[in-house]
Amino acid sequence: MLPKLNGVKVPHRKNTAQMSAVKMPTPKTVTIPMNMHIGAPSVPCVKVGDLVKVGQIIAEAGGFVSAPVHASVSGKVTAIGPMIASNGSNATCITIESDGEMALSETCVPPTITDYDSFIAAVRASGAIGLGGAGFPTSVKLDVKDTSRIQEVVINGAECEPYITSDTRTMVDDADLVKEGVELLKKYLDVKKVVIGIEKNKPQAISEMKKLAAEDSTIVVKALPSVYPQGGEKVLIYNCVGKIVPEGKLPIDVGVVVLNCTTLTFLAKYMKTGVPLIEKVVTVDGSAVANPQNVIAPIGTAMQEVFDFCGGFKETPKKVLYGGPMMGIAVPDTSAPVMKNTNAIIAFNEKDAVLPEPTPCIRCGKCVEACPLNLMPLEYARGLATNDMELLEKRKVNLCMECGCCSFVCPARRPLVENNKLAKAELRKWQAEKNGGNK
Amino acid sequence: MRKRSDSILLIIIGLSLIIVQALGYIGSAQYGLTPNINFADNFSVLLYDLIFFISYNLFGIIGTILIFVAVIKDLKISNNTKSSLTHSSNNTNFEEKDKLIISVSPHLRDKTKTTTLMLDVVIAMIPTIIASFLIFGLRALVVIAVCSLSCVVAEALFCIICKKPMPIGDLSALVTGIILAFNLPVTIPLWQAVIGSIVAIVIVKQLFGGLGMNFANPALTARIVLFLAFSVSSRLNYVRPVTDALFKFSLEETDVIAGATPLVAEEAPNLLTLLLGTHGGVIGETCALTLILGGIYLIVRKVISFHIPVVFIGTVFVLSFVTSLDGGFMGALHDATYQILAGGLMLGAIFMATDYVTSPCTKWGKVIFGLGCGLITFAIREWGSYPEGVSFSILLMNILSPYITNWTATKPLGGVKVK
Repeated sequence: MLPKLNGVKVPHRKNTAQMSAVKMPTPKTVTIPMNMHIGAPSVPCVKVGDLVKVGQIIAEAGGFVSAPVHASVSGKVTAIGPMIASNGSNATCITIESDGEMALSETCVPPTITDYDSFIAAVRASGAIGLGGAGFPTSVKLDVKDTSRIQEVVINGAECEPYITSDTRTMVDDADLVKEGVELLKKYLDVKKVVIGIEKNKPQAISEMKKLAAEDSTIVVKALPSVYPQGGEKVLIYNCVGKIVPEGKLPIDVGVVVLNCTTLTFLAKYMKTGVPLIEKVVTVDGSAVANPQNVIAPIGTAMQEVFDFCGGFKETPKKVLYGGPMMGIAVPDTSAPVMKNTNAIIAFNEKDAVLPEPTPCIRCGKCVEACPLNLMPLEYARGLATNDMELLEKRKVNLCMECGCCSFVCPARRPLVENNKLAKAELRKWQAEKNGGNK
Repeated sequence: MRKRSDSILLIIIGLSLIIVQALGYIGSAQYGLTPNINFADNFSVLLYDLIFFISYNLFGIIGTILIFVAVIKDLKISNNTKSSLTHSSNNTNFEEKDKLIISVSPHLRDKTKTTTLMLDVVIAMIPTIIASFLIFGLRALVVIAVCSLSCVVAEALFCIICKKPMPIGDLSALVTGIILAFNLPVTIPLWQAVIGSIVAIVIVKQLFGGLGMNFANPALTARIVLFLAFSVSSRLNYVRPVTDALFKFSLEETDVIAGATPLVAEEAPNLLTLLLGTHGGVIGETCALTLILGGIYLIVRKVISFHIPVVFIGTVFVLSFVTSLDGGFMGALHDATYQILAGGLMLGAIFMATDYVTSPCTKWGKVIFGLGCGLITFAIREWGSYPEGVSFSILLMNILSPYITNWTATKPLGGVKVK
């Protein structure tokens, strides 16, 4: 019996758990960024003025670790240019003005797959990236070269963040697609064991997946405790198959491939229909939203339009997030577009938006008790304040996954995740200087 | 910019101080020590008399100063608000108000705050406060009140003088005050209690950087300072008022039963008396029952973890048991139970050793800390010349805490050791 990992009990607030996703009307324009995934940004392959159809490729993969981008509406390309992303960086975006037709491109035909190589090529062509929020290009993850390296595939149905229910709806509404996805993995990647990890607060999803497991002996359903962050990759692997991913290594190095359940169902749908990644199920919730629901939104739709579809705001929003409240990114205004890896947009009213002022650290150690990776955030704060880089290196601040457990529990309301981010950057700089001098 | 609530707070504190000073006057003079400045005496005696006069009337003097300062500040604030009103809402234009807040994740916080934790500690100490009244009388409550107020006032004044943000709302000074009072005998002169409070808050806590930066437990260090500085009072350590003196403000020698600490008494009290605390000792240490109840409350509320109290008390128990086995099994059991119920072990292990700042923050670090405290307490009690070893053991382990945290640092999941 492996020791239990730490975590925190966050409020669930799964207000939309029973709501199937609803398609929103086609927006007038979409703005599609080129850097929605981890890796090299995609390179546009259309010009301003071109007419495009739904599913047509508009940007090629920009390198090995990259993915193509496709048009989510039919219409005319009106602009290709930089836009300030939510983290302040500049990203090239393609703006398409919709003609309202939503005409499907002729290139959208089910791919012909005969073997491993053609499967990987098809996955790449679909534009699939990690739809759980991380956004790693799926074709690169699945391209393991030697399929005997894969011992287990872990399907991430944990959805540990408050509010978000899009993965829940995937497992309940698209259970047959999950089954087809598993069949694809078994056929082309020679997968022998599939573990579906679902948090205990989703009983309906667990029962649907258990029905699949009853018919297929390779599938096992693991009900995970409702402790945040069950969906974090390392935590999920530990709790589902009992393996620890060493520092600097990938899950495949311990024989595990982790796939989000929505990514899997998307792949199954793509192999059947040939329609690439052009729309996304987004949970819209938060104290400022009038009618929280799950919405199927075309990629590139401005957040404001999705909020308008959900009845607009019942209170003035003071903070709008991509993603959930534990790891979500705050945006400066609601013109930010829905991206491939967006699975929720949350709008908080003023009461929820304002965070309390920090007070001195009382060294209670609650952050150490909460960290799922057994790190010591209070030591990082001390190391950063005293510029003690050796301490930061020894205590492994680079392993921090910024899940937010430490800041959440801190009684003094210290900004621990901020501290950790800064400490990581300072450590990297210091290590680069140290190694540069050692040449 | 100071808010109006700061001034109101100062006025309330000032008035309370003056009231306590007045109460002190109502109770008759303590051991014949009335402030009496005789200008005919030579200079050193005069200086002594003056210092004594000021300390004796310290509360009243400080209370008056605080009210004065608060009134002045209030006048200044009302002037400021008047002028800002004339500038109207230039800064709250439409665009500013409409902007979204950007902050780093996480955007949610748990309910527990520093103030919540401190409030829980105060609540856990309430049964012991009630027990101390029943055992030691009204003066025990006066000492507790004086210590708490002095600690809060000392912290407030220090932060006002040094222009730091006002921290007393987090109740940590209040907790220090109550714990310090628990460590003092009921007959301690009130001015010594005030000096102890000032040492605890100003010297041990604030001068090292305030909350979270002290190197040793403030209340504990102040207790040690008082007992080394005012040895007269320490002789009166193990006293208990007779029943009809319970409601007196100040106690005369005839009102108290003096005696040696139960740890070295020839007529040892039985275990039930030890548990209920109806014997001599300092204000908070005798009633083991209420201390244990408080400890259970804190553990259930997740304010402290069970590691330090259990390991500390357990170590003393086991060592006492093993070294008394020559008296038979039941005798050893009785002796070990006697050892953990008598003296300041319960108070130290539950309320003082578990202080966050001065104890390790890792699980195994807490175990080592408790073990060390237990070992040193037992060693001092068994072979040292002091009957009570708890204070010194906790102080010594406090100093070792950062090293213990370092030795017992958690192992990051999947981490590879740095060469």
